[in-house]
Amino acid sequence: MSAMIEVPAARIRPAAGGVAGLLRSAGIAGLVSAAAIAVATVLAVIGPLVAPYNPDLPSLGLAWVGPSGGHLLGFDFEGRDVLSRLLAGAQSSMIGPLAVVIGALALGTALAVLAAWRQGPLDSVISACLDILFAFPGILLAVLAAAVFGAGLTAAAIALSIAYMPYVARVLRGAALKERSQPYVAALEVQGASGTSICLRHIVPNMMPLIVAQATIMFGWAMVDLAAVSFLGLGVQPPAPNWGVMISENQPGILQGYPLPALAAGICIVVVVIAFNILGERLFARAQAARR
Amino acid sequence: MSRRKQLPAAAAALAACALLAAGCGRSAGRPASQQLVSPTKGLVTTTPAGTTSVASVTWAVYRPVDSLDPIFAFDYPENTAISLMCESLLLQAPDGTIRPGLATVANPSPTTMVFTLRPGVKFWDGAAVTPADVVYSLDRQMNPAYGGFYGAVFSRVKSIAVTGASQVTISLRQPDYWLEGELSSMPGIIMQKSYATRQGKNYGTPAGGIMCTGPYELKSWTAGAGITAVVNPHYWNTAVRPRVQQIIVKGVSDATSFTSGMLTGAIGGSYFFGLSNLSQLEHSASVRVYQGPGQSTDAFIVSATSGPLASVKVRQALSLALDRKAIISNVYDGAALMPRWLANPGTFGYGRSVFTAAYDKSPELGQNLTLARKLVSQAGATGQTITIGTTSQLANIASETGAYQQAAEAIGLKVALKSVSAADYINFFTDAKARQGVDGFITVNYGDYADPAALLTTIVLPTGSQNYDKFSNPQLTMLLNQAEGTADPDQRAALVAKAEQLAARLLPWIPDVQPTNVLMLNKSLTGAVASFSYMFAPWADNLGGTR
Amino acid sequence: MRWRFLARRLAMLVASLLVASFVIFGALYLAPGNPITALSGGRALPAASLRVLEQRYHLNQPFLAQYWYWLDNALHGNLGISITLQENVSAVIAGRMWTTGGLVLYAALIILVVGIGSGILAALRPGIADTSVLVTTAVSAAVPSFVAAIVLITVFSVKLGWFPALGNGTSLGSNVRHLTLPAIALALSSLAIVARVTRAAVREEADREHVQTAISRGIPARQLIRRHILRNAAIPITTVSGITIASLIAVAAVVETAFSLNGLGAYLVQAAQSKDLAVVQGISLVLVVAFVLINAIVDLLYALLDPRVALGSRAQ
Repeated sequence: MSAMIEVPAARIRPAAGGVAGLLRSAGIAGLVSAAAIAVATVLAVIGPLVAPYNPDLPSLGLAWVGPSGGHLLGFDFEGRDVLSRLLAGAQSSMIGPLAVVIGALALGTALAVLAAWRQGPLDSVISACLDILFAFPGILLAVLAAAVFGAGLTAAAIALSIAYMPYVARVLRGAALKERSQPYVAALEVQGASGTSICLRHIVPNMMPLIVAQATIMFGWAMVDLAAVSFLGLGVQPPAPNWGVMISENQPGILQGYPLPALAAGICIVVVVIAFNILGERLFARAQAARR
Repeated sequence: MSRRKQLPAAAAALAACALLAAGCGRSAGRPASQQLVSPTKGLVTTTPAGTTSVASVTWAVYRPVDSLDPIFAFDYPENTAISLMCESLLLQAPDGTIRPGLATVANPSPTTMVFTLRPGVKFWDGAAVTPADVVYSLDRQMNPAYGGFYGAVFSRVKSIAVTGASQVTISLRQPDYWLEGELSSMPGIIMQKSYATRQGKNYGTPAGGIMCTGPYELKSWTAGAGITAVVNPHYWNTAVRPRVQQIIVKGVSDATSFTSGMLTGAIGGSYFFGLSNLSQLEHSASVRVYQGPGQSTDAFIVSATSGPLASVKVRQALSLALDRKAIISNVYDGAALMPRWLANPGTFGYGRSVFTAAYDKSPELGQNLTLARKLVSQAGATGQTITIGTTSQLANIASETGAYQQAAEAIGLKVALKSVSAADYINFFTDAKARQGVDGFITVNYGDYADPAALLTTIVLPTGSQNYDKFSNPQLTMLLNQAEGTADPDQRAALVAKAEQLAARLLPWIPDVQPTNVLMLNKSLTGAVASFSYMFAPWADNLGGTR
Repeated sequence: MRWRFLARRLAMLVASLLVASFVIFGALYLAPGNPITALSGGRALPAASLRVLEQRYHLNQPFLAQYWYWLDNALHGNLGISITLQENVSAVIAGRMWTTGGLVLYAALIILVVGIGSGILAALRPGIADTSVLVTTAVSAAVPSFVAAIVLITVFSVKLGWFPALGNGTSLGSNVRHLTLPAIALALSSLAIVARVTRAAVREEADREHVQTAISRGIPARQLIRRHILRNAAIPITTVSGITIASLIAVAAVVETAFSLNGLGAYLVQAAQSKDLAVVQGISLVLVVAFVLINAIVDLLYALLDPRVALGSRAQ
């Protein structure tokens, strides 16, 4: 998890140079990360279509066979093509974290802006509630949800959104407070703009760099947590292709001398998470710089 | 912060991983392992007795033990733990024959069985085993109020009564030549009446414990730590002197943890079966692997009362489409036989020549995809879906489910899966609600003693405890009922053999493979029983250190 | 002023625990079907057992009354009975508590020593040390604990045989050996954040004016580090270490499962898989209480170390 970086009070300056500026300041690491993320995203959409072989049909006689003609990563414990399963698995492996991020951001931003705008007792109540929500670590809530609603991606994703929401809200509340105290807000209020419109049209967009940065880093956490939940058998259920599931399914092979299927899935997770971490930190740095 | 240095380093790490992994994987076309042992030769029923004392041995079973009450024992972990500490009226020897246990038996008439308790038999607490204890234990098995699993084996019993200071007589309505075998197994386990009545519902649970007569007694039972048994200092059979002071029966569901445990010595021994990397253990320096004649059958239980699998043609098709050789090499690493009957040839505990002759005449259940597809279209089942109950946490079940998926897809059937956790898999067997909507599920199942009829009756008789699909065939029923009342072992064998041949055509269950009985021991240990009798009779009497 | 802060923190603590326990209890009613179905985990239980469940959970009484009974029982150590094991949940927890506690403590030790140590190293010696610490932590942060677990088992347990692969061991000494690989797997992903924050905090302090002054006055380095840099850097370091260690409690479940340890987390997962709701609620309650307590202790330490806190409201 990344540190909650306090955003210092600052004047607003629009992000220098837009996308071009982003690319320029991203550096090689940032570009490669963005590329990796792009590839993963594309695969999440078309993965099952581009898989060269059937990712679901077992063929026991081919179990654990290594890379050979056309099967670049060999076969898994049930004789299914590993590469095809990785490509097909990108979908559930990426959509889960996406849902978590969207959920946590939507809720967190709404609460943060509300608390910052109204301030006073409402702010205290919301802050207190958020502090209480911190009592639930993400995985614990996901396990509880699985016990109550049955194992599956939906329950786990909702649980993780709820668990991540306080972190988002805490960071964004600070930023929203600072935005609120900017002179342009007072000017808009004097002009008769409603609270909602000021929030939606000015405060939230000005916090966008921070929100995007937070979302990016959070995607990495969500990916790790959801893969863990699937590894425990409480998330995506086998035999559905999913990177976390593939690690637990092919775990026995590692001790038998066939580490490739499990490792390949693990590498996919690690690569995507590193990419999101690197990109997220770049975006955080930019968000900070933009406020100085 | 030089983040740009992260990238090449990360790339290097990944490249290293890839290189490490890429070299590994077996080549297609060659079997995953050499055949371990020919599954019919070199089988042993015992191992050389241990000679030195050992402080503690951890024994692994595939999941934690649920209960120590024999009336609820119908699965490997429970049987393994109970047979270690408890004894039954009669005893199953490692070679499958039935010998006197806590009692000897005499048959003054075809419908009377007289059990005479051996002198000096006593429980762990020193109290003598009385006929009242025997009657209580058997009644507990029979009485539906207790909800025990073995009530049906007493179906021909008229009465059980104390008939002497150390004598119990069972009167039968009809001759029953299977009852002796059952009483050498879980249904015949003798517990102390006063202890059991005192514990009531808690008997056999961690709260209540048990009171038995065996060479090991229960010391502690904690969820997660397993069952700890220590040598019974008051064991009535002074000829037996166990050398291992403490045995911990521990549930290990994860094949990976099991393998590392055996390799590092954390696990001293196990009867774990369906281990796909068995050869890895056999070739390791720290483990010795033995195979004994198997009595269990790896089969696909048909639980569908309607739908595609209710048709015998579809069942035959599925059986013809199954790639059994792949199961033998991938799931059992060679330690299994191709099936001809539902019964494992290791169950021929009597009438051996009759059984073997009939068995050799029966065809092997091989693969024939063309015929299979024809049968499916004849039955009009092409395109229909079957639902298979499975668990992804038990590697052998997951793999075999995959084999059935493969077979079904190859003949035009679709497959849906109903997955549960490893601990819940047993519910498919016990809970009709769990079986709802499920057309079948994999099992590695067994009869209570060495007789092909023992397992078959539970499957095909209308009252059978494992007859989940309401299977009923008058001819089969007649053959088995007749066999039950036939005194001469060879005649009985002939009837049972006919029943098996019929069942192999009707396929109430689809036999997959016939596993041998695998025993794995750390090289520092020897003496455990190597045959399937470990499930029903004490198996650690001769266990001890080597040298 | 300090007392006001303490009182407020204590109130937050109690409120958190109450709400958490309410949510955990309420989960029973969120489950599809009725509470009886949820408690039996969807199994067909005999009528007598169902009556026992109804009685034990006071299911014929209003919701809040039920919650009160449950909470009251829990405070007295009675957390119900496990459907699958037929054992007292409290007995199940007591038997496994020490494994999880030991694992978390061991991992915490590794995080503190290695994490803080490498952070200080990176901050005070820029160049190769700094870069390698950054790179290693970046990669280790992205490796999920279960992947780390598998790799550790393969290399250190099977290939090298240095550590056992499964189980808990029987004596104190073998316990430590058995918990080493799991503790490393657990600590790995948290090392990054602790090292990073340590590095940032120490760097910041090292650049401070009073430290520069001390350097120019010729005060020896070690004294400098201890007296000036670390003491001020202690605040963010303690905070992040505390938060990280608290989060170990949840991730321990994954590591325990991968290493087949009989800890609370592993059993929580198994109970969730078999839908043994009483066990899930009981263990969740224990873990959440531990988590909240550790966080509260971290906040208290923060208050003790940072004199500014006692004086005014904390900056959120």
